[in-house]
This record gives sequence, structure tokens and C-alpha cells, in this order.
Amino acid sequence: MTVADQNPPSVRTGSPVLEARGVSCAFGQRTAVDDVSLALYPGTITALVGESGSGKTTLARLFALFYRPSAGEILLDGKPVSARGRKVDYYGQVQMIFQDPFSSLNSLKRIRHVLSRALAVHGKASGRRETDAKVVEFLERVSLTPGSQYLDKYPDELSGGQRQRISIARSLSVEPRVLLADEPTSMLDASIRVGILNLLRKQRDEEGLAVLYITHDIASARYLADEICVMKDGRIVERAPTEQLITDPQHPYTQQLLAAAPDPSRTAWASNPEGEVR
Amino acid sequence: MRIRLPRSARVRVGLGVFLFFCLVGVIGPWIVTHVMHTTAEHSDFNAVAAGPSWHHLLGTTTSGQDCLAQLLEGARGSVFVGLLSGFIAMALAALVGVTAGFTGGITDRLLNAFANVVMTLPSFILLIIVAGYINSPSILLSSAIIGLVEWPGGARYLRAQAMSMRGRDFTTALIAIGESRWRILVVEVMPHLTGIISAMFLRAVVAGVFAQAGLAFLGIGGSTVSWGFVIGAAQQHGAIGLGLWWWYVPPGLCIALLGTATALVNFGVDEVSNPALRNASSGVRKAMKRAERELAARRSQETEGATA
Amino acid sequence: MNDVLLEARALSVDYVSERGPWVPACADVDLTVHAGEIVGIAGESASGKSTLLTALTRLQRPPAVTSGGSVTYRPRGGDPVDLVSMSERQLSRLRWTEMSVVMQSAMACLNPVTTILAQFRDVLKRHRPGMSKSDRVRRTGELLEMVGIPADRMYSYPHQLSGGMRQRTLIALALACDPQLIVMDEPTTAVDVVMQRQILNQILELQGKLGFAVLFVTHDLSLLIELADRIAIMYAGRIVETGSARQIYDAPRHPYTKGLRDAYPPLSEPVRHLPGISGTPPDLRNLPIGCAFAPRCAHRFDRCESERPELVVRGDGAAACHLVEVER
Repeated sequence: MTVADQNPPSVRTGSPVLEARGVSCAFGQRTAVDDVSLALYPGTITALVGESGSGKTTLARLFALFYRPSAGEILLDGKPVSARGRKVDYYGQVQMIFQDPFSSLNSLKRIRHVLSRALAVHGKASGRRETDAKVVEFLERVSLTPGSQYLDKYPDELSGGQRQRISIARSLSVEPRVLLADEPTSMLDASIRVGILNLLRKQRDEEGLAVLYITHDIASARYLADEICVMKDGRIVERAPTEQLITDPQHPYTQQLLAAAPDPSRTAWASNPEGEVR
Repeated sequence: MRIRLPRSARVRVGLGVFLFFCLVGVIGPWIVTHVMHTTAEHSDFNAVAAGPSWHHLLGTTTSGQDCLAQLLEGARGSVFVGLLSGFIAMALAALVGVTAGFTGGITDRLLNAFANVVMTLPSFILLIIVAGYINSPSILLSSAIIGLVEWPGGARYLRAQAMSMRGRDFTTALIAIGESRWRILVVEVMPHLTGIISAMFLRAVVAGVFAQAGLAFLGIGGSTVSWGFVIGAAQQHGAIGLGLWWWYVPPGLCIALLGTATALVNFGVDEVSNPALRNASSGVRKAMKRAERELAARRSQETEGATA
Repeated sequence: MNDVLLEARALSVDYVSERGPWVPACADVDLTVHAGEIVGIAGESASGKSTLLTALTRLQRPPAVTSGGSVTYRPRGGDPVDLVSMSERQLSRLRWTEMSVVMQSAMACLNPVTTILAQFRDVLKRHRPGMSKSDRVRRTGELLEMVGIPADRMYSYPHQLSGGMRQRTLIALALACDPQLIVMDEPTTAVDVVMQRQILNQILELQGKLGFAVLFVTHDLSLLIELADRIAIMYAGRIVETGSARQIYDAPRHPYTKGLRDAYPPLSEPVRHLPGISGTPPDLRNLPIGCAFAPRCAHRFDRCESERPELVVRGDGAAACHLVEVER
């Protein structure tokens, strides 16, 4: 079964939730993002693939309103968003997951505090009982079961994968429509990674979330995403539905990325199945 | 919030000494009146400039005042000024430093410039001028003056700490949750700084004790009995020339001991905040030595077993 | 290919703690590297792979101690020596000329305040005392060109080079005195995919030309399968499976190896749902009595929880799993 089968093309109809239109961002002399337009649709995972310095994280941070674009604009439901002033309402719609689960949680606060603050800020729960129940619900949604067991733990009592799940649970508890995931698995062990990717896919399928999946690992982008954008030097150089981009890359840089990625199934003996080892 | 007790022996000894002097500051005067049945000012004309004896454990001054009584009374004056001035200095340092570092931008630049200006003023000379101008300031006033002069170093250090906190992912993540900045600062960031702030508070307290001792020694620290005051009096009455060491050595030692205590605590804090030092710490070194001995023993046992 | 170059037997490394018992980071590791062979060690965080590597090369720092076992190394034209009990002086004679190391962070290994040439000069002066000054410069240029860096970059400082160039400089430096064995600890983790591919190709090419052996440690099994001749998989401080790269990929015997292999989404094969491995790696301070992987294993049975499986040899590989023993 391929990803395309799991994800009927109908999900792409409708209008984008979040959109960058002609966005640029520079730090001093260096242009990190150069005139990029990118739209995120409900129930769709868009992967943004690039190497370090390609501008992919800057683009995510522009979406998260951490930086103000020097040109262009960010639109939520077609309406321009200002990077000034209070953004609570915006963050109720758009949530971000960070790369490093060891630094994105406050090491001095219990898991209960981490999630209940997110709930409180967005008025999703009030009173200790209701809050605890909601916290447990979201912990279990990210497969931390039984959730009650995690309430009084501190982040450093958990493994990297569990922490990343906590981070995701915190973002989900706001009940957003867009999830910006900035390399959410690159700091995790391989055996844990797929679990996190599957979790993101579940959010797309069950909650209809629009997900921006940022990664340097094109194989994981193929596994997870409906559509892949390849970014280089601040620009999107190629964008296509996943299987099309993988099987028929147009841009030389995409071809280079695909050729460079480790893929055991391409080794000489793997592509030559005669003489099976057993 | 989690409270972690310091594990390092140095920190424990340092804190012990510090708390001991605080305790003496609190109950010292009570001992003088209720146990020794005397006062710091009372003169015993039967024992003038006498050395230590059963009757006067630490001897007497040239006017027959009991040196132990003075030391105990003086502890209150010194420690009180130290604590209050330390508190004032740290409160200012935390307010200015953390706000500047965490807010950034123009606020940071203004506050930092202000701290830099205050820091370049020679603080002790400033103290002498202000204290001399006020003429015999009360114990509260001298604490306030000392505190107002001592904060900028701490503010700069805390500013750097707060700046690094602002760059951490967890504060960015909290902004992305929609948490307000002041709440992030007070509820989420401050607990990370309490360890550093308490260590700095200790240092500020001792700096306050030193400053007060300096002022009292010069005779511009007011008329409250304190260690500096006692040393100053001893100096005025030629105690050094007369060889009355019991008069000026004990208060001097007390001040030095307090200084050592903070140094010990600060070493310990450095060990905690600097992992490179942690592995070089004596505990790990000892454990490594033990391990090597044990392994050597195990190996020789094995070879014996092999030959047997 | 049959002469053994490095052989670890029952090597154990513990982390000494101030109080409480020692933490076994590596236990009973047997590992053999033959001359001219590429051996890969794959493992995740806390698997003990880096600890093993520092113990093999005697680069470990407190609080790690080698608590048991031996590491036999066979120098060129000499008798085998035990690296564990060797003095620092004897050891320094082997470094660079017999065995060299490439670490993950090139910036941390290169001296930031001297030129690349000066750092090559230090090594060559020490281990090739007969070399003249102009020979050293020529050799440096030659080595840099071997890894695809223009010779005139020898006058640069490390910070003037890109991350990939710095990593390649380290490889060139490791090659400076023609060692028989190069130990590499995640040498491409800090660089981008395209550069990683270039560096790996270069290592393979140089290895084919010069014939040194490589011990390559990484968390990335998919990369190792393409690179290594033989692979050892580590979990919770022990080797749980060894085998040829092909066997590890085609027919892994240990459930952990299987899980790890299936944790990498493929690029050229059709996408299918990957389950990953549930649970988390064990706490080394509190290891289960039986198989350390049992709590995460879908195939576990009673024996797995009560008895730790030993490595059982099967063909040219070995696996530590009760299932393999049952197969018999």
C-alpha cells in the first residue's frame, strides 16, 4: 500500500489554512528565505526538505511568527496575519513542534504543568479535575498510556521519544488546525522515529490537521508526506506530489539529494536478489 | 518546584559556617544578657586589658569590657547589615539583570548602560563619601547604602544568564503556546536562576559585612557594635602595640571565616554549573582511584587463581 | 583478509559512580577486525557503542574504566600487544602510525589557532622524524588532495573551512602516517546528506587504494549496510548480533536488528507501514535479569525474562537471542 492510496486526492480540495505568500526574510546580509510561497491544506502533510542553511527552519519560524518577514505576508484562512501584538488567537490555530525534545520542555516543571498551561492559556479547561482529565486524554492520544502515570513526572525522567510525544501532546491540547513540525525526529533514535512519524500521520487522518513536516531526511518525507517541497538557498526549487517527486525528480538538486540519501535496498547485492543469504 | 540539596561537601561546610554566624547574630545578644549576665558596654574595672581567663573567656579591652560579649553583640550588627544589604543588592540585581536580559532590545540597552555606569564608580569610596556625609548612619541606613552600591556586578551576571534562557527552546516553545512574557519570566525562567541567585546572595551578604566592617573601622559606620567597630576601637586604643591580640583577632577571624564560607559555596556552585570541573571533582577522582585499586586486586586474584 | 588486526575479548567498561554500584556501559564485548576490512558498529544512544570505541582506542576519560577483558592489537611486523594493559608511552608509539581516530566533531579535534599545515606538521614531525621540512609540506598537500581538498588550503585555519572540508581534513590527518586501522566515530553525523555521501565514497575509495581497515561507529544502520563488510549491532552495552552487511539486511536474526532495519523508510522500494520499535531503551543502572530487549520485544517468552541469551554463532554471524537457540 502506498501513501497515495491511504490518502485520497480529495483531501487537497478546499482552500489553504495557512499560507506564505512571497515571503522573504534576511538576517543582516544573508537572505535566509527568498520570495517563498507555500500553502498548507487541511488533512495534508507537506514536507519541506532541505539541508542545513537552506532556510527551512526560518520558513517554519516565519509561519510561527517568531520573525517578521521583510517582504510578503503570512495568511491564516486567507487573512493576513500581523507579527505584532498578542498572538494567542493565532497560536490557538497554529502550533509548532521543536527539534530538540531535551530543550523544548522546562526541566523544572512537571508534565501536568506543561500541558495544563497550554490548556489554560487557550481556555480549554478549568478547575484541577477537568484539567487533569484533559491532560490525561491528550497524553493518551500520543500513546503515553496510562496518561495518569506521567502527570507527576519531570521531563528528565522521560526518554527522548517520550519527551517529543509530550511536546506533541502540548501542541495538540490547544486543538490547532496547523502543526509546524521542525525536524521532530532528528534528535531521536531510529527505533523511536517511525513512531513519531506515525503519530503525525494519525493527526492528519483523524483530526484533519494541516502538517508542515520539515526534515533533511528525504526518505522520511516520502514515508510521511502527501507533497514534498525541496528547498535550497532560501528558495523552493521543486515541489510535487510525493511519489512523483521521488520517482521523477526534475531539479538537479533533488536528484542529488535522492542519490545521496542512504538506501540499503540500492546496494549492489540488494538489487541483485539471486544468491539469497540464509 | 524541586529543591535539590547541594551534594558537594564544600558547599555543605560553607553553608554550615554561614548559617552558624547567622545563628550567632540572632542569639548572640541573648547569650550576652541571659547567660553571661553582662553587656558589651559594661566595664569590669577588676580586669582591665586582661588576657583570656575563666571569668572573661576572650579577655577584656583597655576599658575592661568583655571581648566575648562584644564579639557576640557585634555579630548581630555585622550579620544584620550583611543580610539586609545583600538582600537589597540581590533584589536590585535580579530586577535589573533578569528584566534586561530577558526583555532584550532598548530596555536591555538602557538598563545595562545604567548598571555599567554604577559599576565603574569606585564603590567603597562612594560608600565612604555617602556614609561620611550622612554622619553616623543608622544600621538600616548603612545597609541601604551598601546595598545600593553593590548590585551592578550581580545584575550583569544575571543578565547574561537570563539572555541564555531567552534563547532556549523551552521559552520559545512557551511563546508558541501563547504564554505571556512576564509569566514565562516569573514562573518558568526564575526557578532556573534561584540556585545562582542564592549563591550570589551569599556573596553579597559577605561583601556587605566587609563593607560595613570597613566603614565601622574608619569610624563612619554609626555607633552600633559590630566586628568592624570592635576592630576599629582596638586600633584606636593601640591594642596592636599593647599586644592585646584577643581584642582584635577574634572579630577579624570571624570576618575571614565568613569570607571563606562563601568561597567554599562558590567553588561548589562552579562545580555544579561547569561539567568539566565536575568530573575533575575530588569525589569522582576518589571513586576512580578506588575502582583502579579494586580492578588491580581482581586481576592479581585471577592470575593467582591461574597459577594455583 | 584472514589476518586479525584487532581483537577484543570479553571487554567490559563500567562508569564508576561516587556512590552506588558501577554502571555497565559495555559488557563482555567480543569484536574482531581483520586487516583491510570495514567493520561497522551500530547502536542507538546509550547502547555503549561510543564507550566501546573509546575503550578500544584507550581514549576513555573518567569516570569510565575498563573493568575486564583484553584488546589485542597486531602491529606491522611485530608481536601482538594488549592495548588495555599497555603504558601510555608504548601506546603513543602506536597512535597515528598503526591506529588513528576520526571523531564526530571536527571543530573540536582541530586546533582553532593554528593552520591546517601546522597540525599535519605536528603529527609528521613526531611520527616521521626523518622527514624534511619540504617533504612534510609536500606530504600535507598530497594528503589533502587525496580527500579532495586543494593543497593550498593547508595554509587555512580550521574555521575558514566548511564543515565537510574540516571532516575530510581529519580523515586526511588520520591517514598521514599510513595506519593499518582507522577508527571512526560518527564522522558524518554533523554534515549534510550530500556531503556525507561524498565523504563515504572517499573513504571507500581510499580504503580500496590503501588497504587500511576501518572500524566505523554510527547510529545509522542504513548507512552502515551500504558501507561495511561486517556489522555488529549493540543494545544496552552488549553486542546482540553480528553478521555480514548483507545478512544483517536480508536476514537479521535478532528481533532488535529486525526492528532497527525496519525503522528506516526506504527510498526505492514501495512505501509500507513501518511499526518502529515500541517502548524505550533500558536504564543501564537497572537492567532486566533476562534479555535487555525483552520488554520491547514482540516475540518474547518466559525464558527471555529469566535468562540472558548468549551470543550463538550461526554461519558467519552470531546472535544473542533465545529464538536463535530454539531454531537449532
